[in-house]
Amino acid sequence: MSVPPATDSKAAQEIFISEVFHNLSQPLTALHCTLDLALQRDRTLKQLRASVQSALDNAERLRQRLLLVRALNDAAAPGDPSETTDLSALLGELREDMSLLFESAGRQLVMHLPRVPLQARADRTRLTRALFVFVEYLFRYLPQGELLSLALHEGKEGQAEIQVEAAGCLPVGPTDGDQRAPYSCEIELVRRTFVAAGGKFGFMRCDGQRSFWRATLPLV
Amino acid sequence: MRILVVEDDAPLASFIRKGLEAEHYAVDVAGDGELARRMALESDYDLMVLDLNLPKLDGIAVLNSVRPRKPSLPVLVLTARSRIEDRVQSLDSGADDCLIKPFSFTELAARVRALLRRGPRTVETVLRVADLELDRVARRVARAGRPVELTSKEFALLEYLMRNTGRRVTRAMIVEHVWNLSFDTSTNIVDVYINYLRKKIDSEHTPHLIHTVRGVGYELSCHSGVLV
Repeated sequence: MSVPPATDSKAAQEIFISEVFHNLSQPLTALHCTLDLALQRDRTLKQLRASVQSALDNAERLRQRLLLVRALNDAAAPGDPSETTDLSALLGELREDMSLLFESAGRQLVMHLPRVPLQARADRTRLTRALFVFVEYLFRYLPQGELLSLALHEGKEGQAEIQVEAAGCLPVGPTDGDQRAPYSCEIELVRRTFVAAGGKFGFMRCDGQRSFWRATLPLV
Repeated sequence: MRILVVEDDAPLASFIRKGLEAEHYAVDVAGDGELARRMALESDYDLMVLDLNLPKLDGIAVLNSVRPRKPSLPVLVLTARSRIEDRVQSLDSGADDCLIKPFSFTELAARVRALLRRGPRTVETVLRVADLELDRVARRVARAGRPVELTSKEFALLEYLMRNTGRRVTRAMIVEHVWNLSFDTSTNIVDVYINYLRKKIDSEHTPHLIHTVRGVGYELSCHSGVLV
């Protein structure tokens, strides 16, 4: 499995910092411009109120991005090694949890679950959060009428494997050549959660219209 | 209502004080842990807003010292600490709620109101608002005596709104308590779920119970109209 965006830690660190910088700089730039323009021009009270509201909205966006960066730190912390999670049940609940969002937007979430439950050694709360964040992230880029599918099965060497296939073009990370792959703080959060649980998470390939992902976790 | 704000960052303390005073609370500010402990023990406050990183005595030590002698004092902890363990430790030490920096004043104010309105802790099995009933144990919901089928997430969302009846809850609060995420989601999932819940709870009944609070979030109450 290729683990994007790069194999060596220095490159990975640069990409991570670049992504965080991008996430934080967008709302901050908007905030700065709004306030700058509000001060430079003669404005009516109504226009000033609109500027203040815009500044407040961007401050909130900035706050939420900072909280996401903090969550990245939490995701890397090792969980309780004795905790086990029924992956089949967890994915079933995720499907129910997300179905209204998909339905409301004319998209489909499909899950292929094994008949026999698969128990993985992982913290259920963190794993639920990570999968929710991942599915929600893919949903943002899923065209209307298209499908996102997750398939769970028993893989090799005592690992549970989740294969994900999603329509839509995801933004790629700031990497070069063959290493170009989708990358975001959300994807990094998911990767860290799986790695902290002793598993793997990575982007496999993109055929121009669909992206393919694979995650593994050690079975009990 | 009298609130003790414990925050060593003077501009932030001033901002919180002014904001809470604008909401008609009486506010005292302590800039270090020792002063905070003394003020909390010697005066009667309705709520304490407590930063964890403090000079002289840190927030956890303040909590450990104050909580045994003021068991019913609501404490809202503010923290910029990144580890989950720090937040867990503050709640285990007796904090009633924990707000992560950076925060918006709207959310701080909403949490302050929620803590101040919280009566003695209840373990009610059935929550009721007007003719809406939610049985937490049997996992049943009924409006005007007619059963309402909800998914587990809709149930959790309705339970959270009913537990906060009459209080404005932000989208971030809903995401944190119902979806268990410490940051807001990138989609409109809260609004989607609220809309579905409205169809099931409110569409065929009066009064409508789920209200949009412009620029804030939602409120479940018997009021009518859009809240601003």
